[in-house]
Amino acid sequence: MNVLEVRGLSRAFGGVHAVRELSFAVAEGTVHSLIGPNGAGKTTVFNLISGIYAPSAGQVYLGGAEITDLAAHRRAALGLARTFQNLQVFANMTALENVLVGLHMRLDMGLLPQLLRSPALRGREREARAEARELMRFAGVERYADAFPASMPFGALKRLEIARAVASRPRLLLLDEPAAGLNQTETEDIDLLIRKIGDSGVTVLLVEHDMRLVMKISDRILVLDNGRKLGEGTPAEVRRDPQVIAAYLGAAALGPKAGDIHAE
Amino acid sequence: MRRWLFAPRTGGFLVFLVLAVALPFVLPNAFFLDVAILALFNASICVGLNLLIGYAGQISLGHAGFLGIGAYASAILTGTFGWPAPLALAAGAAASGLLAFAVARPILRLRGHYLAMATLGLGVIVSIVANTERELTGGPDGMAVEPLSFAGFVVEGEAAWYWLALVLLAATVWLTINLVDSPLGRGLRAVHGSEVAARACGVDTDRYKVIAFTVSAVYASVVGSLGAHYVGFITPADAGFMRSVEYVTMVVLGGMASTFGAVVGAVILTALPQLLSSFQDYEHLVFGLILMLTMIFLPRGVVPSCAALFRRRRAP
Ligand SMILES: Nc1ncnc2c1ncn2[C@@H]1O[C@H](COP(=O)(O)OP(=O)(O)OP(=O)(O)O)[C@@H](O)[C@H]1O
Ligand SMILES: [Mg+2]
Repeated sequence: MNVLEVRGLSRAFGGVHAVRELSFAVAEGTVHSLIGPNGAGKTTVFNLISGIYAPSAGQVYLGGAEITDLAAHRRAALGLARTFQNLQVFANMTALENVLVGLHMRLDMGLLPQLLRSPALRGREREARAEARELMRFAGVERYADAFPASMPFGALKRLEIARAVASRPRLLLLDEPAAGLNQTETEDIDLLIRKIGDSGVTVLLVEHDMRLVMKISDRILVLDNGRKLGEGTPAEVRRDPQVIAAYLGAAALGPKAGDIHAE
Repeated sequence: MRRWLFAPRTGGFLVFLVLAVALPFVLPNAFFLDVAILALFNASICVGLNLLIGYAGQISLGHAGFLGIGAYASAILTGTFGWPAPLALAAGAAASGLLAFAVARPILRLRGHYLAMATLGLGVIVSIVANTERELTGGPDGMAVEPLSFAGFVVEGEAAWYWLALVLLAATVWLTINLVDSPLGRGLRAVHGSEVAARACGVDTDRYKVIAFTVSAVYASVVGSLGAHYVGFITPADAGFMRSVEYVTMVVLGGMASTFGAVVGAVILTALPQLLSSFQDYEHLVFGLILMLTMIFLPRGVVPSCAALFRRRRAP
């Protein structure tokens, strides 16, 4: 069963074709990675799936139901969650409150009980706070519960975003470069965290430049170049794909990261 | 215990109540009491406006328009049509709420300058209507408003008005503190923090902005009604652009996203021009200056800045 299916998805910004006629599917319970050089269109694909941008053409299906024209918050209600490449934590709230926003859909109720702080609301709030703390422990950031993001290290903020995203108990979690800007040990911790999330039954779609992490963690990999699908398959298949190698070797001249594709 | 004392819902509210209840006993005369009543009214408006500006991060330069709708609804419905005052107040609040609800969606889709201009236009339209509908409103000369009465009981004298205004503000503060700390309040703050992330978390950001806009409009309208009864006279200027700017200045000075900050800002900027009578010719100039200086030197506002200072002192 496919949790996510994308058919003929395209999006242009002025003259830039960021995504072109892209089709792929993500099977339930897998970790699926989306890789490609800078500007390949990975983040745009995430924005199209999560409803931040509207596609110029194509459809998106979540759990078999079409969501192409649905508002972003409705997609979240159907079990889609995501993190952001450029951190999007709520700087005006404590870390715990950030996670509570992730629990939002299960807490929302009418205006009146919230204005009057009804006993029912109080009970639910108490439970929600306990659950948010538990999620922060899961992500390894529980000691920052009452801290504001401005006083938290970068690595903790990345984890906080993940805690907030899994709070909604999503079917599909989109992670946009969760290891970017992290050092070696922090990256390994993120690796473990993603595995834990995958083991808990959440399907993961991952964008990541760290090839070692991608090769280790993914069930399938989709390679994007210039908005087009360049190749797709298991890590072993993708590593052998001559087109992929060519694209990455082209990029390798610009940076060391792409060379990692050959590393175990 | 310490937590309890420093939480806004408990300790903060208690301090506020004690100060407000003690105030009339230390004020030397009716003039000061009059200033205090106006300050309480303005504080109620600012607490509501802060939901929109401070918490949800949306600007409104037109909230005096809702105050005007409430004020004129009360003046016209009680004076010309003989409605009971509470009914007129409720009608004004309903009209303000409906108007706010109707225009909020298209208006709050705008951002930055465009949102500021659209809300400004909304306020200006109200004052233009008040200016031109002479038969109903008395035009630019304004109109007299009957004293507040209900069930044969007339609210008279500064003392009675002070307690009424205080009950109103206390209720406003209480409801707002509850709201800010509820799922809805977190949704509002999330809109301010990161709108895309809020949407990705399932927050219907448009709806939340509409709620903040509508709730703050209803607060302003209710205060407009009561204020009109208290002062006994209203003019289109009460609904005008300068008044809207004053409320924004109060919120910014006191502290955005701080309910007691909004109260403090309203108290300072209501009291200052009244107490320093030499101010009055330059009132707008001084408001502009205070707004600028606050943005530059105290961008978070008086109360949050002081709170931060206090916390840093206490921390080892
Ligand atoms: N909002 C936008 N407006 C205009 N152009 C955009 C916008 N978003 C993306 N693009 C363009 O679309 C292309 C794909 O960008 P995208 O951010 O999806 O790449 P990416 O694969 O995520 O890159 P990176 O690895 O650097 O994050 C780029 O050329 C980018 O400049
Ligand atoms: Mg990207």
